Parts: sequence; C-alpha cells; structure tokens
Amino acid sequence: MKGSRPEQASLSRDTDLSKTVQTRTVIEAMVDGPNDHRISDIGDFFAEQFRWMGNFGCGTKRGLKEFQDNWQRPFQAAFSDKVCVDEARLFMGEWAAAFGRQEAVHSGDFMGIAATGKRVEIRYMDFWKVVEGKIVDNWVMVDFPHVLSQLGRDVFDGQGWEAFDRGTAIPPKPQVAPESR
Amino acid sequence: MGANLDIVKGMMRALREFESGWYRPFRMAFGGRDFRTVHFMQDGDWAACFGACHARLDADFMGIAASGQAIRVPYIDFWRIEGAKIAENIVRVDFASLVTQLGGDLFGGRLWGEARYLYDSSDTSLKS
Repeated sequence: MKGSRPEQASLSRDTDLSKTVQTRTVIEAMVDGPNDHRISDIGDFFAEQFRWMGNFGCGTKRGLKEFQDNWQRPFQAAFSDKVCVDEARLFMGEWAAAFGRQEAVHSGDFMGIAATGKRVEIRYMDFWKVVEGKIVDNWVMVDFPHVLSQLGRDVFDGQGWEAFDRGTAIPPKPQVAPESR
Repeated sequence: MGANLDIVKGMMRALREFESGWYRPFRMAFGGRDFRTVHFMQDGDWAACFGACHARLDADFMGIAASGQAIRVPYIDFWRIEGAKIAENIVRVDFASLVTQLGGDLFGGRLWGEARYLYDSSDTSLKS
C-alpha cells in the first residue's frame, strides 16, 4: 500500500465555484430552522428526495418524510430546549460544512436511558450539497457515544482512546518501523 | 521569551501526545491503509474533508482480537490553519461503526436507522 494514491475528493473537486454565494444563502436561511424547532416547512430548504447520511447509530434518511419521522421527531422526543451553535462554517461552490454543538435537556428516552433532565452537549458535523437552491445531500455526524457518556453510559467500556490522553492506558508502540501515513 | 518558550513547549507536548496517543496506535491497529477522501473543501483559514480509511485489522481493537479482516474506518476532519501550520484539527472517527464491523454492538441494538454510506461516495451498507 505504500505510495498508494487513490482517487481523492471525487464529490467536490469539480464543484462550480461560482455557486458559493447561492449555497451560502440557502444554508444561512436553513440553519435558523432547527433553532426555531420547525419541522413542517423544512421543504423550503431540502429537496423532496434528499439524502441524510449519518454516522453509525444515527442511520440514513431518504427524503423529507423519513428525515422528519426518523430523525427530527425522535430527536425532539429525547431532547428539548435545544440551542444550536455552529462553531465554524465553510462554503465552497455547491458545498457547505459546519461543526458545532447543540445544547439541550435530556427530557425523553434516549437509547434506553429514561429522561434525566440533564443539560447535555450534542456535538455534530454537517456537510451539505446545494443544487438549484435546495439541499440534495447532507452528510452528518452526531456524536451519540459522547451524549451517552454524559448520561453515565460509556459505550466504549473504558477502552476509548481518550484513556491514552488521561494516562489511564499505555498507547501501544510498534515493534518495527510502521508504514508511512 | 518565557511566554514564547511555553508556547513551544506546549506545541511539542501536543505533537508528542498526538504521535503517541493517536497516530501510532492507529497505524498499529490498521494495516494496509488506503485513505479514500471523497470530499474536500477549503474556505479562508478552514479546510474540511470526509472519507473512509480502507484497511485491515492488524492489532487487537477495544478488546476484539485482530483477525486481519478488511475494515472501513469512516472519518471527518476540520482543520484551522495558522500561517503554514495546522493549529486545530477537529476530528470524528466512527469507532462505533468499526466495532460493529468486527461483530460488536455498542448501542445495544438501539439504532436510529441503518448506516449505509459511512462517508463513502457509494452505498456501503454494513452487514452486521
């Protein structure tokens, strides 16, 4: 594998840079939506059959109805008083990206943990592709393991690599010189 | 001068911790790494990407014995650049997906849906 150069950035390398302003306009209008707890009119921003592609645990939603039924509503059933804070936002051609945190109260069952009333931080990352004024693809990361840890459940059972930072586990070292990268 | 020295020491410590606490364990656990970054973008001082590292399990991972099996490690990176150097790197690597590929289950089956893409450009449904 050394020196392997697989094809890179196939999704974004040919993006039309003249679209950056339009992308920015759509995304900036949309991000007010979650803070306003809107569900019914998000079709103003998302294409009818858009793809919501989450990290493991969060699932994959195809289209507005699946997004509303299988993401927004379960989320609002588990968490309330949500405030969404983007910590950085990027725009390039048809693409936008952001990461940040939602601060919310755990007020309903979340992955088998009954409401605790605790205020939790829900870290997220989003990448959006905007075509003709609507979001067609949304690549997402929502850090469920981090939320569960704040509710007292460590899904990694102490074996998360944070243990190397805390000094509670010794990071392994290779016996021989490893490959590059 | 004292303050500058503290900054340099802090950076050295940060680099050492990255090397010992992430970079080396990552390279030990995952062999034959093929980083397929499908998306990359840059805006001002920030850049971001996502993709999946296709590799094989060469060392025990979170208590799961190494089998040499093919795995896919999804990742997202955001970088903030200061001058010509990376000052911040905000990262998510989907270890929960990886544990599932190795036969484990971190969420007790309480998934909010099937993860089908995992930062790959095509549907790469996990068969768990």
